Amino acid sequence: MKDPDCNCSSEVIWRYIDRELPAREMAVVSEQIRGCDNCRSMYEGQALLARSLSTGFVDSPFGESFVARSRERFGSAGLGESSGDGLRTIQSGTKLLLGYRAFSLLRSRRAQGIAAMLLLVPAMIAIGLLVGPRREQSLGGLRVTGRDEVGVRVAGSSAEVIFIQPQPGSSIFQAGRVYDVPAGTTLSLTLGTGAEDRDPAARLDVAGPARFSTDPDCTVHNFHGNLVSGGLRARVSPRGAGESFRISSGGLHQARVIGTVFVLSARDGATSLTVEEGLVGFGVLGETGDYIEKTKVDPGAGTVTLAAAGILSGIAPAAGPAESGREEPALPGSSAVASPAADAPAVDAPGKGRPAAGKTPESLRDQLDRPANPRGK
Amino acid sequence: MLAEDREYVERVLAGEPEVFEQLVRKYNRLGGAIAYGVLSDFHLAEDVVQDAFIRAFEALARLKEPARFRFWFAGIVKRRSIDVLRQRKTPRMRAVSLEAGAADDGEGQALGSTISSDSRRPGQSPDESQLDAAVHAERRRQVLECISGLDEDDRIVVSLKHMEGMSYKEIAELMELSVSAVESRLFRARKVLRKQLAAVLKLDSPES
Repeated sequence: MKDPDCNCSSEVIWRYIDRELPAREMAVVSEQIRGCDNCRSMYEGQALLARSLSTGFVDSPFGESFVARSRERFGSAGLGESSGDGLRTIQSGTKLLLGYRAFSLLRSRRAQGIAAMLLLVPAMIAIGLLVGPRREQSLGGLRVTGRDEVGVRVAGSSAEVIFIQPQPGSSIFQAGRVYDVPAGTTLSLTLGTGAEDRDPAARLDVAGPARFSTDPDCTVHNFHGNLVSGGLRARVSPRGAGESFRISSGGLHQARVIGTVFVLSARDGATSLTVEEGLVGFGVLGETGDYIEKTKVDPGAGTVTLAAAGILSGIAPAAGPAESGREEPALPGSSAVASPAADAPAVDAPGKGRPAAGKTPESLRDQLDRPANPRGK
Repeated sequence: MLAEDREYVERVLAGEPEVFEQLVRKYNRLGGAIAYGVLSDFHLAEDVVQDAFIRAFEALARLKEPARFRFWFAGIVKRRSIDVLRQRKTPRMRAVSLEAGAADDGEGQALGSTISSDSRRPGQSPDESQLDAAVHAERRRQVLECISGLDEDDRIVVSLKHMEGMSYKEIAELMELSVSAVESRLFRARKVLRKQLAAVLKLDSPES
């Protein structure tokens, strides 16, 4: 039904699709899309156009394939040594620089191309030979439920997008992938032997709109994911000695799990964490990616938010229900856990301005606990 | 990100040329988006980006602020792209023709196993799957053709947004525009594209 007060504009919907609105406005627009036929129709058309424009570039020669093809061309042309001796050609930066100077004297594009291959690619080959082919391993199973398909691409590449439709069966959950989950859709990732594993090492439910990626080198026992935006709920079995389960958000914060259930949300550089069971380490990532723990969060802590600078911007212990009119609006299928860093007061009074523990991530929990609802009807 | 670039540049200059590959890996898509935006041709864009990396390597010691490699490299790509465009002496080039199947030049191998298990819907025969692939390839060709019809700056903004996934702010910094200018360019370009692609995408009503 069309909302009589509908004042959504195309510009606002585009900002929503591009995730350029503050979290609070994202939630408002999201509710509007959910409740107003006019807005939903506008959103669906624009989202389809956005997806089509992105998939228009999937055949581009860039991304990891750009690097890989350079190696292939070099190898097939027989221009370089294919053994470990390839390193000899790049032992000296000076030698390489001299090579590049010679390159600049070449005038034909083909000659330049060959020279480029001769000069740049040996380094790549040498690294490739030393490191060997990167083969991301299977981490378990995944399943898509809800309205739309989930986009998947190789981490570090903008190309090679595939889409996984909402369907009852499961697909392979691999390391080194980026998952784009649209609004109204949930991506369930099961860490372990497969989606049907009854006792998985972990289960992650990523509610759209969200982007989640897995580290190429991570494994079931040493898992490392990155919540780029949006919200997720994780249920993690206790980890053994030497095992780890880490989720970073936006390259700034990280939650380290000891065996628990928690909800994480990333928006505008701020990350919010609500723990339902157990204990979660919560900290910032230093410039070199090292983890600096700021606090440990348990269910009594309510929602803890780390702003971009890694400052704890609010801790709301368990208290009464949030006051009417100030409760965080919910995103469709996303988290209502976090206040955006820019909007959030430094410290909220208990029970005010922030939902209470156990109630906090209302929309996310509600959606994730609910069975799949095909086509959103 | 900027600190990481500084480290890479300093290591290359300190005698670890192989570290340059990290910059190639990190910025080839960015360069590709800019070059494609200017040239509307993936193959030419690839040549330009390769060439730009060589030039960047050669001139790396002259980079005053290693942390700003990204912006510096983007400038090299844009200048090279414009040079190539002038050499071609054609007012505007069309998008490269992407025949169904021709696009499969070995890319996407890393996802091959996933594609084979995911791209076909339950109950769908291989023939239907191939037909789907051909339809999608044709749609991508039409999308690129429409993008190639945009003004150069709009094409660059669209490429940076949809090929590289950059935010308004990142695009604004790179193109030395205000965020609102980027947003309005993007909005205008998408409005044009929506109109042109309405039939292809089966969009019901024009954007208000």
